[in-house]
Amino acid sequence: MNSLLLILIASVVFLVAYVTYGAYLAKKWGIDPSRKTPAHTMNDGVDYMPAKAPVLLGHHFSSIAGAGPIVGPIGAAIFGWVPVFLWILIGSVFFGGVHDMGALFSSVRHDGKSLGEVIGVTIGKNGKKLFAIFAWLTLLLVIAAFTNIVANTFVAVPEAATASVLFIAVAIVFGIFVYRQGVSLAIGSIIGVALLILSIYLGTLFPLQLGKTAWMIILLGYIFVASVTPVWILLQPRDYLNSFLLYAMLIGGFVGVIFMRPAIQLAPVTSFTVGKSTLFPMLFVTVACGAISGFHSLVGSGTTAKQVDNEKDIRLVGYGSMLIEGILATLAIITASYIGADKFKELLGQGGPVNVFSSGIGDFMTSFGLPFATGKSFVALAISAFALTSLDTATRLARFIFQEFFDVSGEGQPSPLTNRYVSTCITVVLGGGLAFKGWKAIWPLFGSANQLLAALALLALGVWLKQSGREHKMATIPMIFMFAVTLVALIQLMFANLGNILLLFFSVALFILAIVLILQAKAAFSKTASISKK
Amino acid sequence: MKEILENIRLFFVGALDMQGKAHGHIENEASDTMDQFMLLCFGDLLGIDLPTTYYALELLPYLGEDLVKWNMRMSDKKSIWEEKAGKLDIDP
Amino acid sequence: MGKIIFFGGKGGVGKTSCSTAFALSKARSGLKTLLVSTDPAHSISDLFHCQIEHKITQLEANLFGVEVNPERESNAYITKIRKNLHSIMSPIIMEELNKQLDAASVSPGTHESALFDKMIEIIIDTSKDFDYIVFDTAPTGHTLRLLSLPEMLGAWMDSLIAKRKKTLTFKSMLSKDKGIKDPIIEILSKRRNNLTLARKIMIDGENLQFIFVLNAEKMPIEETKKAVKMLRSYGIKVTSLVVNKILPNENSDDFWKDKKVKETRYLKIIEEEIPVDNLYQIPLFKFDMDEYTINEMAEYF
Repeated sequence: MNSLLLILIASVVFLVAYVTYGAYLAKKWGIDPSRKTPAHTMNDGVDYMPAKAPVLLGHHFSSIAGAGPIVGPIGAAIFGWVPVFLWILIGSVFFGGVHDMGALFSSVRHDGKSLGEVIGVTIGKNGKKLFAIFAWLTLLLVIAAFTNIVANTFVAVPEAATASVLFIAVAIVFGIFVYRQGVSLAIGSIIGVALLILSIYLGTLFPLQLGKTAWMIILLGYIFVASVTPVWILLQPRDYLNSFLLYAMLIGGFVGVIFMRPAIQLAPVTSFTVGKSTLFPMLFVTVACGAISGFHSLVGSGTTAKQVDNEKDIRLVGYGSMLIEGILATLAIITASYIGADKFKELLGQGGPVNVFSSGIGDFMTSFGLPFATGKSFVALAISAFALTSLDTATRLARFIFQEFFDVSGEGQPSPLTNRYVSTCITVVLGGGLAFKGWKAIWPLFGSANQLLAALALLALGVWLKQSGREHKMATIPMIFMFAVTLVALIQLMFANLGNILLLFFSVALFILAIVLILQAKAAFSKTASISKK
Repeated sequence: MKEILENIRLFFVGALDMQGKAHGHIENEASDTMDQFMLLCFGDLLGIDLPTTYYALELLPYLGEDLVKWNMRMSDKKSIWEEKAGKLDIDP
Repeated sequence: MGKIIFFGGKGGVGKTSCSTAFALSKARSGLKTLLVSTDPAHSISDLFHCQIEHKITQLEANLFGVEVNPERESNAYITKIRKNLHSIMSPIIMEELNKQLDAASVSPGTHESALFDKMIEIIIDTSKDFDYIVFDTAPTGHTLRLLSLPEMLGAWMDSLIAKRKKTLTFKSMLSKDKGIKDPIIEILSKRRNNLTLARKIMIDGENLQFIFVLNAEKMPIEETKKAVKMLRSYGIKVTSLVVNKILPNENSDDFWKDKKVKETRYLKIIEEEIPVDNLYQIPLFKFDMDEYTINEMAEYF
């Protein structure tokens, strides 16, 4: 069977879903094009400003797209490509799409306030605190997972390692010249891209071979420094130059796939049990971002909701962007499934999901003449660069949550824990300590935390819908499923991690918090008082 | 048909957003710093007693246009981690 | 560089008359003196039969006077800003800004700041021209702290300037415009420099002195003691005390004889507990303050 068929199937399914189920959601929720959105009523010139629907869709999609929908599906391909593909389809349509669109909608109807506020209103103060805790834990797991994944990638593709190190230098130089010295962005970009290409070339000549542990320590040190330095030195230049890498990779990848038309060789379904994992529940917590991701609600309610021009755009931006992410996840599964099971296992074992992905895309790009080694190294660099920037921002955000959580002093004097270096240190140590446990163990934990975050958002959505007398099952049924999957997964993980204090701690912590969350859910639903919300 | 092409173009404008990627973080910090400056000047509008309020009145011709919108922005700043989450682009 | 004298003390003790008499005596001994009055009752104008206004007016050979009306000052300041705003802002914005300005014009902090501002202006502009600048009142409340801690206000201005500079740094990263003069920093810096200059004249030059006026009674003594202690802890000189409204020595009835005894005791307490260079004792005059009694009072300084 040809992999292009997968993209075709996905596209058709998503299109139909958008037109039918998306419209159904809009109708049942009462999306009202005649209502003025907060972007208009609360226009403050900076955050609350209306944006045209397609522009907002593009912006929102680029915010939610990342390494997650790539790593997840590839990691889950050990169960065979069919289960993963089916879950991407069903998950995006009935779970992730509902979650994203619902989070966006509830935020718009609550004056564009962030999801935490909505949770505070619908579930209560405890729900709000839970939200912050879940977000924080998920961020720590992101740090752990991504550090591990990047280190893996550097070991498997040392050319990309060299290029990445050089990239840091290029970014700093770019930052100094363009932001401080006033070199024009255009000239800076041309020189920057040229230097990037040079870095990739130098990478192929001088691959940097270091051990995995060495890389992890270096990466953790890098994250610490990067997340406390001013944004113009590293974060901003990296973010900008990354985009060139990313777009080149996406174009190359798509063109390559279309030229090569690879056939699927991986087993459609392998078995229910692979190694220590069972298909249920592990498929779901591994694919995670590819089907439903709690993080999307942060983006949606953090910025997007404040820019929605008209309520009718919510379906396009919220539901639509998740479906496009589903296409991205499909592309990822293709890179895992066009090679045979043996090759897949080999690549996965050598360097993790990024190794599989970069090999795949690198292979596709040979169809128009790019040498395999260069292509693979380039893709590995692009993904790692992306992951490194994610690590920087994740550390910053984790630090912000930590600072706000520990700001207990009423006297106005800051508690020492809110010092940026102390809180960053704690974040990096915790995340880093986890990172050493290997991505195979961390990723399902990350997936579980992310799904619990999503479950909390679905809960808020469900409660709010119920309170205002609207149909809520489309939110609560997925929520219950998320709970079931995550609880079972966490129990399995607890037993699997018995030998490991840190992993065990995280598994248990997440499990307990999940129970607390379920109790909150029960309490919120049984509250008979019907607050009439718009 | 033309509309569809225009929409696709706009999608890429939003997704690519080169200006945003080149300047977004710096713009956010500039905006935050300016809001903090306004806070130190006109904090009395938010009920904060400042020693320099009298002198800050002199700055109204330069900052006054934004004063109302600034007041709106400052109304909900007790917990801003979610606001930052939206702007930081975690991409997991 | 002229000496700057602030007369302090509670309301009703006679600050205005004492400070006027003091200024008069210095002027008559040949020292060019400026008397600054913040008295809303315009008693100094009455005393000298002269319309003393906000411009420096000559009263006698070496004596000049000026009146400071904090309300007038703050209104002038705010009106100027309002006019300025009106010329560049849409009336829709002005509606909001007017609210802000109206609130400011009635706020007590505004009058204090305006008074403080005018004092600083007078000190900077005239300290070279006069041997003595006498203020008939000390700045009240937290302005006193500001006077004794010019660092605090200066530090605030510094933090404002620093914050503004940081914003400009970010803006320069985003666009090509570099090094454009920022009017806000210019305004803030000018204020800052004024404060630094005033501080220099007052504190560094050791030209600032406080003279406290009090009556020989329990409460005024306690309050004066506290005030003197606080000022001295900030390094400000309190050189003299003026005990005003001293009862005459000869008293007929017992009521006044008792009071005189008490008064003498209090005087002794003052001498012992608040040591100063000069302790002036001004009698309670038979007649109301007019140009004759003020001359008499001046003899005591």
